[in-house]
Amino acid sequence: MKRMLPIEFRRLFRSYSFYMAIAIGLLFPISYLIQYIIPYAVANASGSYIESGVIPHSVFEYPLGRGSFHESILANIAPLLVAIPYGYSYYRDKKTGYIKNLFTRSEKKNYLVSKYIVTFFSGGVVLALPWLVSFIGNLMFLPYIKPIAGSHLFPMGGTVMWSELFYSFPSLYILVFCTRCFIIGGLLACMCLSATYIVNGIFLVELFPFIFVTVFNMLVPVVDTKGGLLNSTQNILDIEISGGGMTYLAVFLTMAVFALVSVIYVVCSAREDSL
Amino acid sequence: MLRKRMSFAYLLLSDIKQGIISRIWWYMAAMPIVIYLILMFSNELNGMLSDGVTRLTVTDIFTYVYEGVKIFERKEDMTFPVMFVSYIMVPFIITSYYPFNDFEERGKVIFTRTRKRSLWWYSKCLWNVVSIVTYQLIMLITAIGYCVMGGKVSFEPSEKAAVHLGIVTMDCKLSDIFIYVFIIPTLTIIALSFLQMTISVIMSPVYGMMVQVVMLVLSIFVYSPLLPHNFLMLRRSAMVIDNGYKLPVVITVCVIISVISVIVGRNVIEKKDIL
Repeated sequence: MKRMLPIEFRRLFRSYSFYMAIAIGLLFPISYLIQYIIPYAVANASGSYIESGVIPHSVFEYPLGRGSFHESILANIAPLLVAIPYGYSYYRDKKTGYIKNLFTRSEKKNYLVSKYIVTFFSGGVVLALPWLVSFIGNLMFLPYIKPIAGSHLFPMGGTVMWSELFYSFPSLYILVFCTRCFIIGGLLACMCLSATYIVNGIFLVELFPFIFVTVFNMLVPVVDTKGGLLNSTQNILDIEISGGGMTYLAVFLTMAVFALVSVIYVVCSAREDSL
Repeated sequence: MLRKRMSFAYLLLSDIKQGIISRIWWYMAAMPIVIYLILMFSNELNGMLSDGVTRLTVTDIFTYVYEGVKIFERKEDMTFPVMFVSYIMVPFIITSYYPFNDFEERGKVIFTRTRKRSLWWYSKCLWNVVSIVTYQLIMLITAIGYCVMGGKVSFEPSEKAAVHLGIVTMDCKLSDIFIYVFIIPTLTIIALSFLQMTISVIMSPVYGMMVQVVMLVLSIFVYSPLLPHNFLMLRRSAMVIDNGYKLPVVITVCVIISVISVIVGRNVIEKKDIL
C-alpha cells in the first residue's frame, strides 16, 4: 500500500483531466465573484455604509450562487465533473492489461484500496474546491460579519439543519459544508469503479454517476413521499438549505445509497480473477 | 463492389440497425419515465378535484411533460424542476453513446473503406435525427397506450387539465397545440443533439453532456433564444406569455445550431487523427 498509493496519486496529478475538471469547477465561483461580488465591493469601497448606518453584505450572506444560477449548474454537473479526473482509470487499467502488471508485482488488495482512495480523493477535491475558493474569494472583498439570526439577510432559516452552527461558528459551518461536498463528490466518483463491472465502454463508465443520480433524483419524491428520508443531489449540494426536508437522516441515507454502489466494486473485484 | 458497400446509404442503414434497432431497449427504457410522469400528473389532477376521475389526453400528458418553469425572477420563488431536467436529459444520454462508440470501435475500418470521412459524419447526423424521432414516437405511443387503457384516445386538451396547468387552453387551435407540444420540442432536441454530437467528437461525450446540462440549467434561470432549452418549456411559449418564443424563432435558432454543428463536426472528422 505504501508503494501503490503514491503511484496512484502520481498518476492522478499527472493527468490533465484532473486539472481540467478543477478548472471547469472553478469557473463558477470565479464568474460569480466577477459578476456580483467585485462590483458590489467596488461600489462600496469608500465605506459609505458606515455613515449611512446600513449593515453591509457579509461574506456569509453570499455563498456561491445565492440568487443566481452558478450553484445550480455546479450541483447538476457534479456527477459528470467528478468522473472526469480518475473515474475511467480502473476501466482503462483492466482493458489495457496494465492491471496484470500490478497484480504480479504487488498484492491485489493494495491496488484496489489505493484505487478507491485516489478516486475518492479526486472526486472530493473537484467538488469541494469551488466552494472553498468561493468562500476565500468572498473573504477578499466582503467584510467578515458574523451572521445575525432573525435578520433575514442570511441564507439560513433559524430552524433548519446546522443553523446553530451557522450562526455560532459560520466559518466552521463553511468547512463542514465543504467536507460534505467532498464526501458526496468522492462517493459519486467511486461509482465509476463499480460501473466497470456493470457497463461496457469508457464513456458509459464516466457517465454512470450522472445516470444514477438522474434516476435517483427522479425516484426520491416517489420513495420519500413525506420528505426527510432522502434528498436529491440538488438539495444536498445547496448551501442555502432553507425549508424542510433536509435532515441529518436524509443526508446520511443519501450518502449511504451512494456508498452502497461502491459495494459492487468491492465484491466484484474481490471475486474476480484478473489474471 | 467494396465502394458500393460503403456508400452513404449503406452506412446509414448500418447505423440505424446498430444504433437503434439493436439498442431499442435503451429507447424502451425511457417508457417507465413517461408512465411515471403520467401517473404523477393523474394523481395530481385527480387528487385535488372531487368530481370524478379525469382521463388524460395525449396533449395533456405532453403538456405536463414539457411544462417547464416560468421565467425566473427570484430564487426564493422557484422550485428547481428536478423531474423536468431529468426527463430532458434522457434523449441526450441515449443519443450520446453510439456515435462516439462507433468511432472508437469501427471508425478506423470504415474510414479506410469510404471515399470520404464526411460520409460517416453525415450518416451519423441523419442517424441522430432518426434516433430522436424514434424516441419521441416511443413516448407518443406510450402516451397513446395509456389513453387506450383509459378508454379514449384524444389529442384535444381536457378542460380540467388545461385549467390546472394554465398552458393550453380550450381556445387554442389544434394546429398550434401540435406545433408547440410536439414539433418544437422534437426540433429543439434534434438541434441540441447535433451540438452534443459535435462536442463529443471534438473533445469527449462527457463534455458534450456537460455542455447540455450547463445550457439546460442556465436556460431555467435565463430566458433567451440563444439558450434553446427554453424552447422545451411550454410556460415560456407564445401560448402562455406575450414575449414567449414562436415557431419562426425556434426554427431559425435550431437550423443555425444544426448547420454550424454539422459543418464543424465534418471539418473535425476530416482532419482527426484516427490512428
